[in-house]
Amino acid sequence: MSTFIQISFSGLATGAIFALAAVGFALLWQTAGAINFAHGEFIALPAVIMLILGEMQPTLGLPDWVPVVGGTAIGGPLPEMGIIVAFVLTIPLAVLVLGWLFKVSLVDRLLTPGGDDIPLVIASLGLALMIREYLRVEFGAAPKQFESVFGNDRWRPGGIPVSADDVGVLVVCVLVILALQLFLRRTSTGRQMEAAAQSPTTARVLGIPVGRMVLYTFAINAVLVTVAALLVAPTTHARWDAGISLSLVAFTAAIIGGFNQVRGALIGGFLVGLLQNWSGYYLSSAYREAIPLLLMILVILWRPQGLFGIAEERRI
Amino acid sequence: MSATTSTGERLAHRRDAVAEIDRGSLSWPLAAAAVAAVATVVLLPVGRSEFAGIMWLWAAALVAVLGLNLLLPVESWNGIVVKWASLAGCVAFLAVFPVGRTNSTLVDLGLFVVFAIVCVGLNLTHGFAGKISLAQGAFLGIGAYVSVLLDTGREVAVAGFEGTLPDLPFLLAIAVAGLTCMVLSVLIGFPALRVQGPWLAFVTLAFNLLVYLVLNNEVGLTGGSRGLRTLRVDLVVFGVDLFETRNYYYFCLVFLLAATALVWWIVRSPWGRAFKALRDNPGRAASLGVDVRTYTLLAFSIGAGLAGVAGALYARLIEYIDPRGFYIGQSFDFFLATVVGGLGTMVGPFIGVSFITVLTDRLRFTGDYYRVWFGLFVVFMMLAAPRGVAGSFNQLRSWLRARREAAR
Amino acid sequence: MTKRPCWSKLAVVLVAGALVVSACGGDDGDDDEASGGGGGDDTTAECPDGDSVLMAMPYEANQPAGENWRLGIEMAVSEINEAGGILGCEIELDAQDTQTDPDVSRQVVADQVEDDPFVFLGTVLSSNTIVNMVEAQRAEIPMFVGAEAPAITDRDENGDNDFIYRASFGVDTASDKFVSYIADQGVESIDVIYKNDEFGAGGRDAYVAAFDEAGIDVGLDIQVQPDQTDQSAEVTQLAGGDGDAIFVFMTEIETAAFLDEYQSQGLDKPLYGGDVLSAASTIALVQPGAADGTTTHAGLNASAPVFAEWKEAYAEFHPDADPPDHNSIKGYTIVHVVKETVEQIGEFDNSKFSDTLHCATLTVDDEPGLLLDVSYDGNGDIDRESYIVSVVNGVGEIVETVPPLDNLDERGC
Repeated sequence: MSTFIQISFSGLATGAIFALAAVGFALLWQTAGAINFAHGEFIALPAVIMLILGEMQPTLGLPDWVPVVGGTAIGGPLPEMGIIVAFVLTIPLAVLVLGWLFKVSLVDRLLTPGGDDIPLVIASLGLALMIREYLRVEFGAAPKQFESVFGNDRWRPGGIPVSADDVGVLVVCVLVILALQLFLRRTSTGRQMEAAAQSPTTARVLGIPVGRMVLYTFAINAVLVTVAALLVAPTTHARWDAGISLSLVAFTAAIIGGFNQVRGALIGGFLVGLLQNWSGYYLSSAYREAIPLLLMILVILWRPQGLFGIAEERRI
Repeated sequence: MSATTSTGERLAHRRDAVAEIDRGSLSWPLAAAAVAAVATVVLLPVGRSEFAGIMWLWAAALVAVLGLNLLLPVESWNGIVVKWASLAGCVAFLAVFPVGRTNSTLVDLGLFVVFAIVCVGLNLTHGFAGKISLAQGAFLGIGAYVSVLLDTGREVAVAGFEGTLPDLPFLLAIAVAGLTCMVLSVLIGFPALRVQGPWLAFVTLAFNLLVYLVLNNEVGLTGGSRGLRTLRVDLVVFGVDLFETRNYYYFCLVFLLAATALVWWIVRSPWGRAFKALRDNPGRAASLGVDVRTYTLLAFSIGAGLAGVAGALYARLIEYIDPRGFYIGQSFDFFLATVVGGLGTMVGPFIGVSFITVLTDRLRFTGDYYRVWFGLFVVFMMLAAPRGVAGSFNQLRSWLRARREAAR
Repeated sequence: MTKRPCWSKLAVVLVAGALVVSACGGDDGDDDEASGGGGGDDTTAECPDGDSVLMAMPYEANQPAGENWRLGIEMAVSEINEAGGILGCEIELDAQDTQTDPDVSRQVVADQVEDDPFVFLGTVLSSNTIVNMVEAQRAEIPMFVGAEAPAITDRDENGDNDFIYRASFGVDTASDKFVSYIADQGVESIDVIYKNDEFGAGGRDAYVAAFDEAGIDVGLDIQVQPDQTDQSAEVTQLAGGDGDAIFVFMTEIETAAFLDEYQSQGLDKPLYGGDVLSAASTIALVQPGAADGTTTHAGLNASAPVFAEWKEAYAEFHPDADPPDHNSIKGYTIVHVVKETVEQIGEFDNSKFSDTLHCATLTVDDEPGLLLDVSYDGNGDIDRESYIVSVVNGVGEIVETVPPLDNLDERGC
């Protein structure tokens, strides 16, 4: 039994990572109709940037009173402080480039209402290639360690290994996604965004600035991928090729959970993490990824709105 | 966003596009065609070319022929002569070019031919029948492994079954590889082709990943991640020894010409018209009694079958296969090639495949970042020419024709 | 809809044709027939290329392994050239980056073949080497690889390749040496965990075979997937295993994840494995202390006393580079192997090259640059002394030196 709990907890921790990867992808698809095959690279890129910025900390001469955030400080506070500050610095950069620039240069041009999705998908493939190869050449092919903002503490409640990082990622992920859900449902801006997503023409009639709402979506996505990078990189390490598997897992989790509900990505992520671990342990390690994939196929064929999504009216 | 878009919206968009042509605002397709031409001319002399003079002549002839195509009325005798002459020229070029080339060049050319077969198939499935597929990489792999397993008399052990596989003649192994893919594709297509666009993409993507898992893990059958060495020894077809890369290249070329002819024939036939109807307006096609399911399944399976045949050829071309070569990245490449070349055009796959093989290689003179440049090229092509190179060329031609007629 | 033949599209086929043409910049200078003749066929005592000899070096830039390989080779080439070259011929290096991509590496090697080098010095990674070695084989050019996958020298797999040579132990020979050490430690049963790819599976095969031969029972035989960072399920399985020890064969990322998980589950069986297990690069990725107690076998290890002097010379030659690792030594020594072999033949001749080097033992007395005596068997595998490395307090230390197997007569000689 404790084995089951152990691998389930670990699956949830990994699943939180998957959920973070999935939620931005789902949001873009749901709100802007943009299918972004470069999503994984959008996470890998900020991770590398934060690493570089974080290592640049000492030369920026930050004063000592900048607070240490998160976990237990080990040794000097400098590395952690570096990542936090790097994170704060990276957010506006991400919003500008991965949000605004991406939207304006690619999505607006390629995504016409009622038109083809394909050019944007291809362009995002090209973009993914660009980011990936740039990271490979510029940053090197070897993976680099990425400090966790939650520190390195480990505990063994009831004999089950639990790390501060696991718990931290889980908690933050749930909080972030619930916060996003609240924002979209309860705030006026959020509801306007949802309206703009469901029916742009009607929203315009109602006076909602659709263009701006879509821009907000991209901005939020940029923040989400940066947060995802911060939380994911300690486990996957900062690497040029992290994007590929992150993208795939984002697609799977988003579709299974239901991409038209933000919480769907959360549940989808957890589900994929759990299923992988369970099938890895009880069935076969070789096919641990197969069960989520099969589930994804089944979901698409028989319940395309996802397990927790809301069925949409199909208009012929 | 639902899995289908409203028909009304799509029709409205189409009207807008036509109106744009009339307004003469065709800067982007023109830019794309210009880029393609410039890229051709710029890239030609790159490399240790003793044929530089001939390359320039070639470029000049190309420009001349393109210009003629644009300006001559389609139905005139001149137009028809130019058309068949350019076709004959191309075939002659592909046939004559290998003379005097080195082994590595021939392998590269062979790769172009093999991938072109895959994209011709994908073009049928996606370009003509409108069904996106990200599984061509998987079918390439299935074709490769099936043909190799049947052609070498290997001993296999899988799921409790042990035995020695038969050692079939090479041609038969290729045929079985293609047929296996056709059958498999019908099996998945049957449930999967009900869904539209992005959903079908994800289903085929998942299928590709699953196939990869099987190829990688069933060590007793496929050798798993250790790969299989597939040397071209003892391969004699109709008295021709295929060990020589040059001979093997011609062998693959025959398949490419056959595949192109097959797709050309299908498109010209009543099936082809049904495909066009399906692609342009599935709702209306269904209401007119076009058997949507059968036709799309057919297109999908032919596309997969061609990829399977290509896989069989591919395995012997590079003489080593492992599951990594059939991962989702390969499917992305084929998808990219077909779209950037021009969906729904006969020539699009060739252009697209030349981009993913030749262009990527040629770009290496830019140094370590050459793939970044290629990615940028892809992005630019989508911005400039969402219909692909060939599609934009057609748009350009239509525009010029409309202008000619308006001027009368 | 009119049935207009869209023949302009056909004309645009010419664009594709032109692009295809541009791929092949008129390289019909040498007629490299597919049957593989024509590689370095100068059999005169003069230098193959005017007054120099061309050596092609395809390598993986951007990988520490590839970079160190290159640095070692460059140091050797520079020293040899200063001392007059090989038989009076200056060594010319053609360095090309293979982008750590098997298909690109094949193209790179194929392109380099056209320049008719005398030998290939590279590639280093097994995944690339397996694919690109065919090109050198066809051209009958000797190729020295840093890769360790068993399949590279396996004649059943590859057909007869008389032109492939290793720069360090292949996993199959290394496993014989390491397993006898493990058996000496009193291990009677062992559980194996490996990465499910070419490298990991090849290593697992070699080691399981060696364990069987040494009479060590293999209990659990578990795999992890490439890039799998959540190994709780697998490590939990290992925790329930019966082996006296655990054998780990993966690459860096999975090894790091494994060690962290192993440590966090509080397990303490001795860990043996491929040299990634004790490598400095892995230690940098794991929690403090997670790598302590791991023991690996290193074909070459830069901290061995025999390399001390060479290390100093390396630091002088490459003042800005990281300290050398086993890949630097691999690169350095193979250039000297080539030199010594050619000097023994007396001329630059490919076919005599393999006749001479196969089943030969080259000694440091004859060629100090070899740093260690080395023997080559009939397949291109080597035999040499090697080292057992154990991680103590986050640093790998040599705990034992393992002598050469001395079994050339059993290996095709």
